[in-house]
Parts: sequence; C-alpha cells; structure tokens
Amino acid sequence: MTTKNYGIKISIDGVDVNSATDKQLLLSTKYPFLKAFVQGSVSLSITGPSTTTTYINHNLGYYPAFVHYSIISEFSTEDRYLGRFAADGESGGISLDSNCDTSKVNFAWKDSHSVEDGNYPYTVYFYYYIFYDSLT
Amino acid sequence: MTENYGIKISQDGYDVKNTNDENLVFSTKFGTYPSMCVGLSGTASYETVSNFEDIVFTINHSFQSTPFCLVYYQNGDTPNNWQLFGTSPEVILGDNSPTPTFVDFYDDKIVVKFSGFSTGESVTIRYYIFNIFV
Repeated sequence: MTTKNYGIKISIDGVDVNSATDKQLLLSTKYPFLKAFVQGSVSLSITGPSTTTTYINHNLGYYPAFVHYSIISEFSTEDRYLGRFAADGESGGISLDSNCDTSKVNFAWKDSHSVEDGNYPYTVYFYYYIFYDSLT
Repeated sequence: MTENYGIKISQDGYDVKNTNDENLVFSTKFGTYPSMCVGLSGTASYETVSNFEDIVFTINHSFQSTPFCLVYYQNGDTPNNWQLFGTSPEVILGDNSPTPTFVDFYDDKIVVKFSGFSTGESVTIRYYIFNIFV
C-alpha cells in the first residue's frame, strides 16, 4: 500500500511545482499558515521615566499566538524593535515586553532614562498581529 | 497581452475581483518568496532539579537551512500568561524567573535557553518554526 500524499501546493515563480523542494513552495497544505485573527496598532505616550502598559482585547477564550513590533516615532526609521527587547540593559535604558492571557494581549514599555537624559515626551507604537492559533 | 493569472483570496468584506493587494489573504502574485508557513511547531516542558539550573531546549528540524521562528513561554509561577520570547534580561510583565536568555538558530536545530532557576521551577515553551529561511 502506498503512503498517502495529497493536498495542494504552489511553487514560487520560475520553479516547477512537480520537482520543487519544500523550500521552493509558495504554499503547501503540508505546512499550515498561522491564521491571522486581527491586526492593528496601539500607542503609548511616554512623558518621563516610567513603566507604561496597554492591551488589546481578543476575547478568544484561549492563549493565541501573537507577534508585534514597536517603533518610537511613527516616521522614524530608527528604534524599531521586534517582540520583547531591551536597549542599554536594565539600568538607564528601554525595555519592552508582551504577553497574552485568554482575553488580552498585553504590552509594556519601560524607560529608565532620567528626565535629563531621556527624549521625553515621545510616543511608542505597537503594531501587532494576533492569530487564531492556540499556544496550548 | 500582459499575462495575469493565478489564485487570490480576499479578506472578509472585500470583493476579491477589485480589492487591493493589502486586502488579500493570499495571492500567487506574491510568488517570489515562500509564504510564512509553519514548518514545525510543538511544545516542550522542563522542571529544574537544582538551584541556578539553566534550562536548554533543543528542537531539531530537517529544513537544512536556518529558519525563522517564534517562541513563547509560560512559567509555573504565572501560568495564566504566555510571554513572547525576547533577548531582554528584564521581564516587565509577569514573573522574572525564568530569565529568557537566547534563541539560537541553526540549519538543523533551534536552541532556546533560560537561566536563573531555583529547584522545582518549571517552564513550558511553544515554538513555531517557519518555512522561510535566513
């Protein structure tokens, strides 16, 4: 009896789908997508040394996969952070963090720079994707 | 005549025949690079048996190239939250132990390390290794 191997696959431009390796496939039902539930952005106003938090409700009733990146200043090409990150370490620096529970994705931003050394006030933007896929 | 054929799927609420690319869930027009498919996913857990024990998860894969991946973790002290793994030594939300140390990517495995454990502490990770490569 032969091994079952059926589904849908699409190769990338210029590659014969009949002979394409898995890496050369644009799509394959062998490998599922993370299914996007919602995307969007939130912002936090940072006016001084502080830990500031915000959240997005998803209300899925379970822990969903999510991803985000953050930027300081919507129009700046600098200071773009993926996921959780710390600049300058724990002292006198910037840290950001995120987690999810069964109803929310939480974001936090901590800036430990003094009033004199920090570039206050500024706005930090979180761009997020929350997926239908459960982490548990 | 310009050729324009393939498959496209629009998001809810958008007419697939006349919507912009940004409103598509999928299109074979975006055919140069593979889509971000999940090549391998799973969970792993560990409970420490000694103080200051590091925890290292090694997840083998067979992609023969260095993949992109996402790792989330949940520790036994704050079981109601899943954190997105980062390289920061500082956890602002939730418990700071375990301390996520690094995720290293190789062409045959990923390695996820936590440090700073006391005896009897536990951590569970959920990983997604994608079918796109660096």
